[in-house]
Amino acid sequence: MIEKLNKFLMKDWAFLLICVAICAGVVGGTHTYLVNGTGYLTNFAGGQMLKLGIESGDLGAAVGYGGGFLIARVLEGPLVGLIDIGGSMMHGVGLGICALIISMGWGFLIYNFPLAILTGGFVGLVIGLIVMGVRKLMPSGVTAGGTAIMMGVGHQLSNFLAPLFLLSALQYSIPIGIAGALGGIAFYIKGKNCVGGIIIGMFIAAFFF
Amino acid sequence: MFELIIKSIVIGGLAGAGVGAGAARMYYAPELQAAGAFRTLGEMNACQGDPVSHFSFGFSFYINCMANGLATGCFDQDFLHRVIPNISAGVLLTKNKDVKETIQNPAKMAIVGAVVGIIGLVILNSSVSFVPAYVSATLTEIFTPAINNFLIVMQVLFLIAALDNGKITGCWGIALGSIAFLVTGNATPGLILGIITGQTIENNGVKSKISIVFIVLMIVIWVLIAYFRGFFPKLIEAFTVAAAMLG
Repeated sequence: MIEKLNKFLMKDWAFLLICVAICAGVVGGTHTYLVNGTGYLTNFAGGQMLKLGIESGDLGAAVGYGGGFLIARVLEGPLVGLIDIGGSMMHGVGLGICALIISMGWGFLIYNFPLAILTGGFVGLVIGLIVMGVRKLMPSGVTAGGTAIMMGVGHQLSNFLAPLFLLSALQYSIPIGIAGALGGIAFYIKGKNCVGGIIIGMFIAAFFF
Repeated sequence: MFELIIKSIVIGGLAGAGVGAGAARMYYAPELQAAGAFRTLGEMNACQGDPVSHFSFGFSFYINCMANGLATGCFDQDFLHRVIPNISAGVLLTKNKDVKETIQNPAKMAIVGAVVGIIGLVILNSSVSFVPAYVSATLTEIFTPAINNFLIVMQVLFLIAALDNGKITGCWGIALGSIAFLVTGNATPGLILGIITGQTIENNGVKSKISIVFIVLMIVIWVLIAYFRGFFPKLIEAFTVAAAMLG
């Protein structure tokens, strides 16, 4: 049984099935985040961008940010034989494609759970087909450029999160600002990413103030 | 609550199976198209087939996911990137130390990955529902200005990156970024497409097939977006007003 499944999963085209499964799960995660307030499978900046976009009705930023990662990773994935599921699926599909679907007025595809899973699966199938297509068709020597630049900006952007979060915490109120700063210091000393500490500090303080 | 658990089981099972199989196939890339990440592959190799290392690595990130989830409802990318592959690997390796028959076997990794995904996600999602609503409301209020600033920083950084990359990419970045801002109110989509188009032209020459495909694609994409967003009437109106003032 496992041998058979393994033989199947070791075929190159089984990649499509992997894309379908992951994307279905990721879109399901976006559904629970928007409906139940939990379960988003990518980072908080993306989640907040999506929620703010839905509130204001302008999802351009979310589509651009998520979609940019999707394009970059889908172009890069087939060239190196390993697609980055963080940029392509969690960010690209969970943020970019979901924002695109909602901005087209098809929000029911995300807000209805069975439909969300089906939508995710379909998106995954399309991504898988594109990756396999590029893999088969891309003539050697031709390179679609720009993915390295995009990834560089992505890393720079994540550096901005800690200072921006801390500034808004300090602006919001004195106790929450202090808690955020202390959390950031604690995480920084332990050699972990400051953002986590700032968020946890504010989270604890938000119970009391 | 019951509904959320059912949803978590479906999501965790699907994503877990996909990530597990994708991670196992990483060991056969590039002959086989895999899904995962290079850093995941590096981290899994660093554990050297030791179940305890895999467990402790995966579990430390699981704690991170839970803290993030409690505070924001977002688990970050680590749940799929690190927790599922490493905990699944740890589970398989406790029974059989041979990596060829365990973490490099997509079927076994898919099955164990699905189970790990289901259990992990059900615990994460049900723990979040104990957080009182006023706490999440406060946090959203704190974060809103930060994210609005983040959106500005994003456009600035992408534009700087385009300009730093040379004249061709820079010009495409400014042009498409400005169009994107006028049409959608945000320059990011245009800047990203500008960088990709510009760099492709730089790599392959403007007369190569792929460059021409990209250029045509960009024109078609932006004309369509502008049309569906009702930009052309606005454009004509803006210039008629100016012309009327001059005349």
